[in-house]
Amino acid sequence: MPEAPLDDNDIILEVTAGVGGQEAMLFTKEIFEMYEKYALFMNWQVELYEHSTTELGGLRRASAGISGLGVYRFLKFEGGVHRVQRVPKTEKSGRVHTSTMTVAIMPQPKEIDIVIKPKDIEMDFSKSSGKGGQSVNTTDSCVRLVHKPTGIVAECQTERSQLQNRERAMKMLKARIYNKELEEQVANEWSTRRLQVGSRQRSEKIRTYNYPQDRVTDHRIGGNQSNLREFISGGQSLHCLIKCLLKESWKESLLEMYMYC
Amino acid sequence: MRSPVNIVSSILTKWTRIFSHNQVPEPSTSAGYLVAHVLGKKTIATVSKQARLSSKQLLHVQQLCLQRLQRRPVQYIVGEWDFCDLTLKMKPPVLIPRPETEELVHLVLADLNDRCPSSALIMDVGCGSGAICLWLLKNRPDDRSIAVDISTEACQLTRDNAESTDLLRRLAVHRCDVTTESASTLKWPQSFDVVVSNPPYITPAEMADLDPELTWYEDERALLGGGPDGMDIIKEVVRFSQQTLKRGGSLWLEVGLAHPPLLRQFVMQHCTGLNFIAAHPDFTGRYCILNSL
Repeated sequence: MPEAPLDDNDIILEVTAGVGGQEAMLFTKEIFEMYEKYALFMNWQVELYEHSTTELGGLRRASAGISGLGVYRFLKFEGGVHRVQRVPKTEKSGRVHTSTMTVAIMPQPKEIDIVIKPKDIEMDFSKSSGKGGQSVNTTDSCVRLVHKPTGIVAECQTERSQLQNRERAMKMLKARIYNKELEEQVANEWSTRRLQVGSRQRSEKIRTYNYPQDRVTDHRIGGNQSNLREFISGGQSLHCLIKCLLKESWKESLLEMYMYC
Repeated sequence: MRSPVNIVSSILTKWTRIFSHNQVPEPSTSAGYLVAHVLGKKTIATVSKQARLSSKQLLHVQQLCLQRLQRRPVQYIVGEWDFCDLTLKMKPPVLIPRPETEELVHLVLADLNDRCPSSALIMDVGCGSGAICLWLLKNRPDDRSIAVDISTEACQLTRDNAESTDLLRRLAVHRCDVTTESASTLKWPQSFDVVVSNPPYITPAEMADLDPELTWYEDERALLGGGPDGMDIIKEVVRFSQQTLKRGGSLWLEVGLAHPPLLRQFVMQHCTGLNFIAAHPDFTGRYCILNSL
């Protein structure tokens, strides 16, 4: 299969809870863990950038850098809205609820792909650190970066070292800026393909996880996968679906080429 | 319905409130680190707020938080901290590395890679926990370093950290007071490509305002700069470096915000053979580079 230009890139994976309150946040946590396990399965490295948990054990949002061989290639079609249908743990009457979460897959730019002037970046530390020097003891190493020209923000506090938080925040910031540029380019292209990447996908429902019926349905290629629990454990089952998606995408791009030749 | 008292979110709320009430700085960050430590994690970021603590763990959290109530720095309670990507043991009264020093070592690394592509000899004056020399050695596999400190505890901690990071082979640590070292007793005349130092630089006025975390637990010798402008030890380090630097070698210093112009003046007037290159234009303007001519 021929490789698309960005296939080689590392990515930033972002998950955000959608509709459904606490249940959506629990589902977000499960999907994030699914991808963490998939990264392990694929021998990729994961660096945590953001992880905003809730009081009741859910995940509001999280970001992680994933690096390794073919990361973008395999994960690029995971971006979009994932939907879960099941009886929530807190539900007393046994009714099935539908909740959603969003996955965003952003390729990380290579050095040459993006130029950011240091003066365009504003750096905020927590109030007690930053300019303290020797006269302050601080453990609050949270770093927040703002790219002034675009207003894009990135924040990281997952590490004890302020420098490490800054490095991760910078990676996130660069990826977000890069992706904004990429999406602006792609927005002008017109395609009838079911398998696409970009901001259009952000609001598209791509997959439904139905617990009562124990099946996962990808809405782009149809068909059902059973054994939901195996699927969500981020191993062979997910990998098979992803390979199907890649094959389908390749077929579609060939078809498109034929149609417009 | 109230959450059970042994889940993480309740524990965090409780101790944040107690710290806050007792004017302990960074109350919620402190609670987060101490709970994370009991659960075997470095930060609270990935700890599930729903996780339950056993009674043994609850007791452990309490013990650690009581220490924090006595204003013991979190890094000393936990016994270790991260300096860039190095995890180092922390032990009172040895100075806890500050975030600014993480910047300094990156600047020095760039300089070393530029001027000494193969290998270099580095001196760390006032090594403390060993953060500076150990991080440089880790990132420059062919370099060797000598680290000195006036404190025996600091020297021992640097050696311990060198051992746990597998760098002891390339590092020698000596207890030494650079203010009393003279040219005749000097062991290493004109030997070093780089001398790096984060000397004590706090002024008497600032000392009066320091939090108990510093005054009760950290070595005053690592903080008090000496003299009305806090420059005394800095000047001694400069004098010492003048004798230990190779020709063309560099002295890198992290100093107080007000010090760079004072230091420039001092070097121009009293240090023939040393050139004040610049106060590095970083985000806090406290890094000085001096060159040995």
